[in-house]
Amino acid sequence: MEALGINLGFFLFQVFNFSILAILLYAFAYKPLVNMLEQRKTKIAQGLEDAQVAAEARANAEREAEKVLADAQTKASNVVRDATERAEAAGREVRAEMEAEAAKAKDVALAEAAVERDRMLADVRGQIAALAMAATQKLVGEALDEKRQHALLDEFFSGVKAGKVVVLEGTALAGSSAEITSALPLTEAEQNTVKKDVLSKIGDQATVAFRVDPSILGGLVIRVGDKVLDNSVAGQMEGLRQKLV
Amino acid sequence: MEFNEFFVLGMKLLGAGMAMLGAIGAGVGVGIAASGGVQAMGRNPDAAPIIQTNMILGMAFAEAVAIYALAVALIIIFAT
Amino acid sequence: MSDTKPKKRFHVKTLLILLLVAAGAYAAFWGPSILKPVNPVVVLPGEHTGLSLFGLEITNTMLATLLADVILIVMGFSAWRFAKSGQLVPKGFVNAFEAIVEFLWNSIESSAGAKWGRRIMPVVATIFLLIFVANMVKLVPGFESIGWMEESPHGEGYAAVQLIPGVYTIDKTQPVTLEHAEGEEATHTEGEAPCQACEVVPWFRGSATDLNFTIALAVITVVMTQVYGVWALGPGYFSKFMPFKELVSGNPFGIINFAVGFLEIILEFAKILSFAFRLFGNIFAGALLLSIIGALLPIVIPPVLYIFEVFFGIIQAYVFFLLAVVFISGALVSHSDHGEEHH
Repeated sequence: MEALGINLGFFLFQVFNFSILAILLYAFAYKPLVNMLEQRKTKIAQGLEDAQVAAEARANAEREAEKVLADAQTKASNVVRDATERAEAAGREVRAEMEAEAAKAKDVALAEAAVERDRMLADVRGQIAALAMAATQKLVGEALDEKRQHALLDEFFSGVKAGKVVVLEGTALAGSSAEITSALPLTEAEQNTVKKDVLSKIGDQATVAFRVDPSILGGLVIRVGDKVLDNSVAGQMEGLRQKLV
Repeated sequence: MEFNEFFVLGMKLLGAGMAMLGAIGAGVGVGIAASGGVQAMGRNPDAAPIIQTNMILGMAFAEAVAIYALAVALIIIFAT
Repeated sequence: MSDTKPKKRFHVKTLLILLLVAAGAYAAFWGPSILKPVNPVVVLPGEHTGLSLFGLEITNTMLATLLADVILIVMGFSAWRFAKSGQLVPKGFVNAFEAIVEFLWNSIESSAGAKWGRRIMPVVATIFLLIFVANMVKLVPGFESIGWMEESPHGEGYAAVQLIPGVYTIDKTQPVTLEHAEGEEATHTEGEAPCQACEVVPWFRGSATDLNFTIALAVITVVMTQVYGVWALGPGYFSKFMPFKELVSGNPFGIINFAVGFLEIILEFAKILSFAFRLFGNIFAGALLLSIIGALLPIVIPPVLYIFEVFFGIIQAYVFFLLAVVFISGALVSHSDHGEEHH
């Protein structure tokens, strides 16, 4: 054994050396490194798992983003449509308002014009009467009683004779409103007379409106409901013309 | 006496050399193991690590014979 | 650029190699006689270096082992510092160490499992690392060639030649048949040569060329195999060696099994022998081959053998480690059917 170099002291030295080395390396290297390896293994496994989860999440997110985008587009188009509609509605409203206002203004202007015309026609009524009387005096040659002439003229224009409306004599009327058209504006007193007369025929609750239409030349046209009583000069002339023709 | 000493020394060395004849078997064995291992790896490369490990183990065991021979030779030369 | 660059490098390497070969040839055949390689002296036991520790003489193989220890402890310490830093990916030097440990851990884990792998790791991994580092360190130039110059015990050696004061080398062309040997250096401060027929006792010699080292590792492995076996299986582990139950079970093969148990005991001792001599034989033979071929034909062949030695150093460390792992993990599992219950 000695020749092979085997020696108990050297042998024990090597065993001792190995033991110390093993303990040192175990404490310093193997334990932390093996722990680290295991840690790394789990971390890599977890990383792979995480990556998969992340990929799934990303796919989901993409899908959701697409959905959100589509929603947003729909909503945006809705909003645009709404806005357009509202703007159109507002425009229409404004236009309608303006039209209404314009119409109102026109009505007002028309009414004013009618009133003005009525006033002017009322003014000329006296003159027309005077002219008519003068012409009659010239034609007839004798002066009629001036008072009686006035009465005749009034009767001609208003169709009212001795406080009664001529055309209503002996007729039966029914309705809720009456429209009375005269060639020239009636005076207050004539209007009252006509109104009273008409109302006595159709009832107190009915409304009476007065119109002026020079084209009927004279007399009255009374419309109650669907019934028209034509006592105008134009109507009589038309009747005459039809009879003649 | 003189002759005997040299004779014994020569015989010792001769014996050590003959002891090492045992390495022939080990060499053949290691060769067979390597051959089988390489063939197996060629057929199934996927299993190469396992085959390699087992091949090295087998070679180590086959080599043990040569090592016994070496030990005997060394003992003959140095320890007698 | 990319075409010419490798070509240029190739030429540089070729020139370098040719220069080295030429230098080797010059030293071996035409140069001064002190450069000529000396025939090796085959010494089996570790040689004393003159140092001693607690009354125990330190041999050159022990010094080499201590050197390997120091390298391993430095590596282990840097690994510890790295692990303390909490990072997961090491760099540089630690990375190499970590790669080796990871490789070892994977081998251990695959055959012994994670739980027992952690327990047997200190033994088997240290075996691998120590043998590996010792085998690599022994290839460093200066190993087995620098040391004390002493009188050769055989009476045959070479004359000492002074290189610079205090440093001597031996001259192959001046053999002295008085006492004598090989090598390069001595530290006698006298002007006279330290010896007449000199040989060099190197300061460092490969650890595995000392049987004490390999037998110590083998004994540790085999003893730890039993320790782990008892740890894993309890006293029932020893039924592998003395299967009394088989003997009294009435099984006709009981007696044969009992004899097999006896063989198992012998096998454990054979394991020590094969472990120790496999490593020793490979490394010692490699070193011997290297120096003998180096003395006979000092050019071209030795570098090839050097590469071969690197390969064998790794392979032997791995074989030792692998066998230790296989034996220990085999001991963790009961062989008999009865013992199957234990795990």
